[in-house]
Amino acid sequence: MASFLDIIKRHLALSIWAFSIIAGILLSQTSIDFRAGVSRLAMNSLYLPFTSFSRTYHLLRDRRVENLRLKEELTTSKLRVEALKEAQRENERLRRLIGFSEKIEYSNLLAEVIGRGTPRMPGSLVVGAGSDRGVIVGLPVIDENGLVGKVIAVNDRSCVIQPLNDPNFKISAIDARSRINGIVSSNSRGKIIMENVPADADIRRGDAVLSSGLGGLFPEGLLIGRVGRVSVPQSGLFMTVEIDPAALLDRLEEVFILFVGIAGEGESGVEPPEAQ
Amino acid sequence: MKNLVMILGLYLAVALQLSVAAPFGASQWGFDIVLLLLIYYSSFSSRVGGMLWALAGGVLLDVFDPASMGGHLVAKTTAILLFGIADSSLNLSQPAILGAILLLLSILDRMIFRLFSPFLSNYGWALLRVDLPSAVLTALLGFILLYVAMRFGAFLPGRMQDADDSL
Repeated sequence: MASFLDIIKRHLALSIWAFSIIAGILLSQTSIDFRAGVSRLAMNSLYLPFTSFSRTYHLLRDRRVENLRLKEELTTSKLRVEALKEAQRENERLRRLIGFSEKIEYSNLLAEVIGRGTPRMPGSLVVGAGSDRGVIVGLPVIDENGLVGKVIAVNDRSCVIQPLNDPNFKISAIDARSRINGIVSSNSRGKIIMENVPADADIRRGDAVLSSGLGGLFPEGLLIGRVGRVSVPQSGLFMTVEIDPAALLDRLEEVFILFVGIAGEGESGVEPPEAQ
Repeated sequence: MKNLVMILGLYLAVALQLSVAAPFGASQWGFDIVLLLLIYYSSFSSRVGGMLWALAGGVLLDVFDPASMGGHLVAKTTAILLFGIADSSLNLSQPAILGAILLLLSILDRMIFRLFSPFLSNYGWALLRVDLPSAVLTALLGFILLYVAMRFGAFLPGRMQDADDSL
């Protein structure tokens, strides 16, 4: 017995460990009622000062989690509302375009602008309609406000539009009020001008400038724009007429491709294929 | 006075562990503040002293955990016993060794405690999904606290007063 106590004394730490194992196993074997009773007693005495604190803490933690969840929902809802607003705006715009489409006397195709600029033509527009929908080179393109340009290249599912403000674009035009003819093109500064207008012509600011139909490429009467600045040179035969384009060239989202006759085919129009 | 501080510290640690550091969310991960306190205290007390406080801390935790009663007692005393051995044989002032020992002790503590759980059929699953992450969290917290304490000279491993006892 004495030697056993000596061993315990000599290896006290190990003895405590051995004791803890035995005590642990014994505790784990006690009835659940006993353990629940002990635990209840401890909660009602030792833990009592912390009960209120713990309850408040857990309440706050739950609120925080709920708050985060609500914030997340709010963000998702905001995004959804913005998407719906955009869809509504698009819907309104398309309704307006459909209404406009019905008013156009030529067969037309509504197409979406899917890109701007190609490596060879930085100012051009790329539109999501190609030969699969009957588009061919040379067809005029308008928006709901006026002339946009013409088709200059066609792929299977897209085509390239040369816009009115491209330096190589030219169209025969007429002043709607005075019936003075001229050539509308774009100068090196990107301004749209009407050339070949005699210096004594009756051109006034605000006059509508329409396509004259000469040349056969563009039908007669498409609104190109309105006369902006008019400058008459002191010497020379022609005046300089700046045109403010009617089409919103820098904000185009959809355009109409007109299926009208190419040079020599008249205004009766080229019917688009049934596929469209 | 030192014992009174330790009693109060242990009491507060248990209260904290049951409230603020209680397993959170669906993951049931949590910190073991009591284990960290016992390890810290053991570093500057005797081995027997450390084991007795581990015994007290284990019992204190057990009385609040009727489902696994006895588990904390065995887990804490085993962890502190091994910490004593590690403290006297390894250089715990090396951060890597300190971190590794803390991680091993935390895992061992959770493994032993889990043995006393009434749901032993889920032992492996609970060990991987709950205990291992909790042990990592505990080891990480312990490493940060003890490393900072070591920098300020408040944790001096390798100086356990084991003159009065041997394994």
